[in-house]
Amino acid sequence: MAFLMDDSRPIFIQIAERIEDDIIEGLLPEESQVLSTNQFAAFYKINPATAAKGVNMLVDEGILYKKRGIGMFVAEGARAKVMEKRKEQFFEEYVVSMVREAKKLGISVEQLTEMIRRGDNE
Amino acid sequence: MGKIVELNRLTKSYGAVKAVDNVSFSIDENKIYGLLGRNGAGKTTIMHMITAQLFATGGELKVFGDTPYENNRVLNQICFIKESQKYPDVYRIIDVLNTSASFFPNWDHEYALSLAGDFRLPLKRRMKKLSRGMLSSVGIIIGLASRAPLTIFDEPYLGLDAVARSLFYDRLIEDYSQHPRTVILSTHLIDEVSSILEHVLIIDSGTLLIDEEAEALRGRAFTLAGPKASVESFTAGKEVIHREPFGSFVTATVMGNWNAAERKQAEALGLELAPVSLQQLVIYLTNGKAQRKAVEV
Amino acid sequence: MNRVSSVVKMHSRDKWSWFIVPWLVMLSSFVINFIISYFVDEPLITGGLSSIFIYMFVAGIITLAQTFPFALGMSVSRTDYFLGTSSMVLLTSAGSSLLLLLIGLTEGWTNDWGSGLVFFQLPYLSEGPLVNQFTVYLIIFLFMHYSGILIGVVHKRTGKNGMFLISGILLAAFTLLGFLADYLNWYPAIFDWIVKQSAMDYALWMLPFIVIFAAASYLLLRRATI
Repeated sequence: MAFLMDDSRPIFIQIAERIEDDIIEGLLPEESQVLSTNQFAAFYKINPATAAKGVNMLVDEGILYKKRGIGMFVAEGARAKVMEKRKEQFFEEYVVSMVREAKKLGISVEQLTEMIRRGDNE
Repeated sequence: MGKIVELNRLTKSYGAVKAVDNVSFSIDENKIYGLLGRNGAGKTTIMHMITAQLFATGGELKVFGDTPYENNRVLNQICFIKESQKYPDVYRIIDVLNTSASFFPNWDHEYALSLAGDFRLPLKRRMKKLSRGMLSSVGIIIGLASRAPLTIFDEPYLGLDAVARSLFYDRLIEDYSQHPRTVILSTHLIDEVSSILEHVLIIDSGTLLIDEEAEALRGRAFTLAGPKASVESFTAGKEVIHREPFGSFVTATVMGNWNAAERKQAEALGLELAPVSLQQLVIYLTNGKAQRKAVEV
Repeated sequence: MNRVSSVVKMHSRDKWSWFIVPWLVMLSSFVINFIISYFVDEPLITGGLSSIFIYMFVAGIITLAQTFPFALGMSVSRTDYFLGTSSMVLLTSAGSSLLLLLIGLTEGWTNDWGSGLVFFQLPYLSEGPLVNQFTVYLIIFLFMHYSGILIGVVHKRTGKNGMFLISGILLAAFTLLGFLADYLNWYPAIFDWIVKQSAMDYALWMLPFIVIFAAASYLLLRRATI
């Protein structure tokens, strides 16, 4: 189930990732309000302090900002920032390991590019 | 943040048997703690000493800055719900709730009654006639509605089904969000509560194994799988908490916060990597094979 | 918040053990005796009154076993538990004494219930001014209650084996005293003394025992654990 937390990774990171996902998918447009820490806690059944840690991480990165007495909002330019961050992660997580595996199998960069094109057409 | 509970080399012996052996830790205000460990590890004994229902045979104990024994200023702020709690036979559920109302200064009676509705408790039924699950529900209601600055739940859900347990977690998070307080949850159902916990204390055979933030423990250990030689060379000098041979293969669980370089090194060696859940970590740490000393933080 | 009064409130929720059962026992004893008294010509003097005192003794034992672990679990201090329980004992004992006194007077006004049943106003026990009667009842109630509480606490602290040991020691001590009294020829003096005492005198002799029992109960309770 999508809303269950993975107990083998820090939960605050997972919370931040879910908010980022919502921003990328347009569910959380810029200048819209994010759920409160307590709402996150109740919804995901997690400790409110953990939820706060995840939200605060995004505040530090300039993706969310705090309106005093009202709550947390998605910052201007947040989507672009998240996209940039995710592209970097994509490179780290997928491309690097893909290239390593390709080398093992003797696939050249040209062949690999060809394969990616083929994958895109499917 | 203030320290609510401080244990300093606390010991409880029964003759030659040490139920609690030189345990030291402290508990911060307004956090949810998990006191985890196997049955008979000494969790209940520690909680009984914190609430002055048992006497330590050695060490120091301070609760709200003072000794809890016969100390109303301290006891007034504690609510301890335990699996073995006895209730007078002739009392009905409503009598127990009404009595609790006069014992706990922060008691919210309306909340208690609404919880009783949530747990579908027959208020007029005598305690003697309640099922195990209903008895547990009564305890949970007292624990939540007391809103005590230090609320302790010791295996609070014996006999409760998954729905009722989930209800307990929901209400706990909700009420804790509205009324922050220090909560100690002692349980062996770690997978169910782990996401609620902010801090984890792991007790085994009367000694403290782990005293750490729950988040720091997630992803704190990894399991490696691969050819024996590769695993051996990679784990040399590292803290291995679990090892299982599988033909010419070995899986080993290793403690440590791994950086990307180490991870790449493991992958380069052809080792498969999987993170370890908090639940698995506790099982590995307390299965008796690992000999560890308390981790100082 | 006063926790002593909370303990009193806790006890008072158990109306059956504290109020209803003892008087039900009394009432049934009274009704049986009342019926019998119709069939006998002479005035019927019974010891049915003792039932309520014996009940209080049993209640003392049970109360502790039933409520102490509960109260301790609800963060009540041992001292507050003891003071609250003592207040409850004192209140109910005083109430019961007053009630016994009133019913005793009614017995007088109704000319022994019209059937010659002497149940509440016993010869010897109910002699002297009303204040004395009330005091005698009150002291007997307290004596019975604290005897029960002490036994309950000793059981709590020492378990079954401790109970056996203590009753064994007490039995041996009294047997020895009995032989000693016989050997030293104390009995005539003892009987002489016994005959001379009024109910009030006996009651006053019970006072130090009540104090000793209560103090012993408190001291044992101070170190009691769940």
